[in-house]
Amino acid sequence: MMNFFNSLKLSRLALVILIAGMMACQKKEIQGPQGDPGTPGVGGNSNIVSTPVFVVGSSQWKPNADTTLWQYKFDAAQITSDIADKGVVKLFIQVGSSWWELPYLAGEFLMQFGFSVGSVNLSYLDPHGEKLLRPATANFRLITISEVARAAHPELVESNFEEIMKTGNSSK
Amino acid sequence: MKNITIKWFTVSSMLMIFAFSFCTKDVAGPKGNPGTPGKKGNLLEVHTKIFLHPSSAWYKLEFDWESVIYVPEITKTVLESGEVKVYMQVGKEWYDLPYGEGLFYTRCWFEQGIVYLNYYNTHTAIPERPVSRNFRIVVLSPVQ
Repeated sequence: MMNFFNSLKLSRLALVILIAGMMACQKKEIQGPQGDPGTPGVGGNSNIVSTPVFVVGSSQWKPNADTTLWQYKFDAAQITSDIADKGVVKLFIQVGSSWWELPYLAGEFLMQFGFSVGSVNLSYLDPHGEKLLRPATANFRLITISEVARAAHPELVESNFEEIMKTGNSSK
Repeated sequence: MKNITIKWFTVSSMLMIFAFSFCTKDVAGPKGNPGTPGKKGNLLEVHTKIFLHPSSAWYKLEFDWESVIYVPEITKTVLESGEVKVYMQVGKEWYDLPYGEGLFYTRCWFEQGIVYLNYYNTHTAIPERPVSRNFRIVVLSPVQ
């Protein structure tokens, strides 16, 4: 009889240990490997990226000697050599609540920009060469559009100047 | 009594070893599902190589200068729902047209297959013949 009770206790203890052990194991699971990348999207071959809106303060503009030209040059890491040579760069200025794409002409004043790898050069001038007041602080936004998947469009070949241009006395 | 204690100890030890043996394998879970497919792009970009547009390619009109560049990629679709960007290199920088140099402007417009370049003086007097410059053209069109 005593043996029977001991066996019963033994079984209960065994069960408790077993359950406790198994529960402890649940916390030891490790994550499986990452799944394969999704299939590439189809359709276009371009990628458009915009900077957040940024402020160019009035004090950041630098005048030339006679203040007929104001310039502000800033770094733009997103303008890679690929974008500078093949892509699109757009710069917008906020005037009131509207966004205007540069070049922006207001009255006699022209604001335009040039770009090269890694930088943008904003300029503000009067076409008549008159002296200008310092440009006001304004919001800007820069957009780049780059080709990302030419492989998906092998039919697209870069045009050669020699192939596309015919000069001479052609008329409208 | 001593016998029973030994039995308990033995059995419980074996069970613990058995139970915790599950924990020591660290078998990786199943591989995750493939990622969601990429979104369908809707913008197609075609561009010309950088090309030197020679001064001699400009022809004189009554009040301005003009030049024609044939770009077959400017299709009806592009005209109706795409965009054409013409860039001119000034120094080391690229400028989107129109580009102003004092009173002189270089601007462009386009038709199907053609980009017209125009160089003019905002004060009517015809400017000197435009200089040779590098250009490049980007054509953006929607993909259905």
